[in-house]
Amino acid sequence: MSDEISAGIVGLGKMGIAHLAILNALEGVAVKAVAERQALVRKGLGTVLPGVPSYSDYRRMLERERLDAVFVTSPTALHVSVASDCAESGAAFFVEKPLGLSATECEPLVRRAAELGTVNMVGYCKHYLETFRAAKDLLDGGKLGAPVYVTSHMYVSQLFARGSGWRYKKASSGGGVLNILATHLVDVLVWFFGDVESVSCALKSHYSSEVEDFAHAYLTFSSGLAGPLDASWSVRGYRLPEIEVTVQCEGGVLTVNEDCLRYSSDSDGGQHLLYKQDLFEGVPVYVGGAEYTREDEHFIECVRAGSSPELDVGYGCRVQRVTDAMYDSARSGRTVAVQGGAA
Amino acid sequence: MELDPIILGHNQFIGVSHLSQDAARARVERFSDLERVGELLRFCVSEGVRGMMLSSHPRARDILDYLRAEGLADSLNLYPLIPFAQGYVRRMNAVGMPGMLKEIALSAPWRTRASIAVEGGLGLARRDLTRLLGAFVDIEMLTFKGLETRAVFLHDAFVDLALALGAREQLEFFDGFVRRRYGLRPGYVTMNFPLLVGSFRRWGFDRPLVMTTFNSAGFQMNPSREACERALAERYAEVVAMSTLAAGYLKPAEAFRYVNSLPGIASVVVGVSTVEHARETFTLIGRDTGI
Repeated sequence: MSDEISAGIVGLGKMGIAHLAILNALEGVAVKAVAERQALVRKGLGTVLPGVPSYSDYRRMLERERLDAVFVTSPTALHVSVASDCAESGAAFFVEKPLGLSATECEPLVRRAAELGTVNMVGYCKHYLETFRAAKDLLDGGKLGAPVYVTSHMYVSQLFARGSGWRYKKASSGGGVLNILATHLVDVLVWFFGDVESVSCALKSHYSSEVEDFAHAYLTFSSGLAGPLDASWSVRGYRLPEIEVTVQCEGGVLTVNEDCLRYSSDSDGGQHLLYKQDLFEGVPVYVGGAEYTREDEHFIECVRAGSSPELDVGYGCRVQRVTDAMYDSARSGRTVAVQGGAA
Repeated sequence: MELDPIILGHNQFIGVSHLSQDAARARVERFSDLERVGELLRFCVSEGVRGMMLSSHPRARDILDYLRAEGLADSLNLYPLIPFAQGYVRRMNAVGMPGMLKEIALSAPWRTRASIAVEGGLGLARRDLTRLLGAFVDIEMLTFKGLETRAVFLHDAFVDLALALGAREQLEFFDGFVRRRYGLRPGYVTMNFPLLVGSFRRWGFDRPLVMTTFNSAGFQMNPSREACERALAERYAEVVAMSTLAAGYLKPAEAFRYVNSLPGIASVVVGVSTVEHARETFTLIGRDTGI
């Protein structure tokens, strides 16, 4: 493989455009083609990047272009099939979160990517935010002792009337605030604390007719850690999406969100507060969030080296299983074991 | 047209804090009463600080209506920041891209709507999104009609996207459009200052007006504080420093010592939330405020 990575993008929504811009500006990557169904968007792109061919059908793009890496930023329902086609075409792929509509849908992709040795990554971008990364290091370092009880939420003020577009249709999104948004929170929890063993969950719709606007769950992890999770896109006072996790440990307590990390340790008795400003590191190009640049850099680096990114489809599937169990539990009204939770 | 050496930021008035969302919610409460905004702005004007940044946030429209009613609007030099990016992202999430474009067109008064139908309609038929950008600017500028305006800043969400994409044609269009249609100076907000300097130089922009992050913490200075300082030292752009307190993280004394030590900063955006805070800030900046 030459030093310059040839990249393609499938789906020019908000995230597709962000990745397109970042990849266009990063050294050592060249965007060679895009695929997008809406003619208006393709035409608009043509005025900005006239040298980049755009296709209405991504399969044609995969046939015609020699791409080292493809970014899959389509609506969720298409993630797995597009990613599978990328793998078969010999391209590495980066797929936006969540991986798919259900773990059952994702599992064949996980197996096939492993068989083919395809470099792949799922875009759980919170791993690339300074405060969450620092919290993970602190928890792993053992300074606070074993986690005992965890409370968490993810909120954004987004939807206060009937929504339209793919996010609010179950067939294209796989669900509402839980699968589209709170998958970030489930990811952070699985990343911090490992697999979840069982969940009980309740969902409520108010503004959406097909999907949930509110989700509340109680999670029990394989480690014995447990606690509630709450998520909504219809609460006021959250201009930007906010994830907050508070974990009571045997030797202290930690709270982390996008802005800061706060913790106290029984051993030194001190209160510690680290702001994102304390932890900030610049990125070569900033488009909407440093975390997107960092995840793209990591993926491209892995494609170049042929190594496996931290967050592959196997990981994406583990997160998906937790979300699936939450939907199952909400339907049945019972506590549900997470499939393959201990795997 | 001359820039004000101190420009008041608007975040505190519209419930934005880049320090934390808790701080943002506190701001919403503090300034839910427009009288407080008026009191603070009266003090600033009495100190000779007349520059004020304002986006077309719905809340900003309320503030402007109030300032007009109080006769305060005429004492201020406004620096519109357009478009109100977060609002569009949220609407795009809620109603999709076509739905959002329709909402924008319908939100304009009929006279503008008619001209957009012609311009934008043609633009859409020709699938030329560059021309639609003009309609977009017109709608956003309605908020500021009849007010003393010194420059129009394009929001960093758009500037940084355009820079990363190398969207020269779109940026040149904005530049020419603001100059021709409004007789105003176009400005650019960015978190990628060295990238902007490199690109704008290549494209032949003449001494662009740029608002960008400068703080001693290096916060939001990409790719690094050192690279931003080097780009500033070229004295190619006329720079308005923002995030000088690193979103409320730095103590003002330390923060302004750093900003004052930089060569070639034309103006500073500051967020002040009380009269005492404003007094302290203006003293620390220690600039000739043009009184």
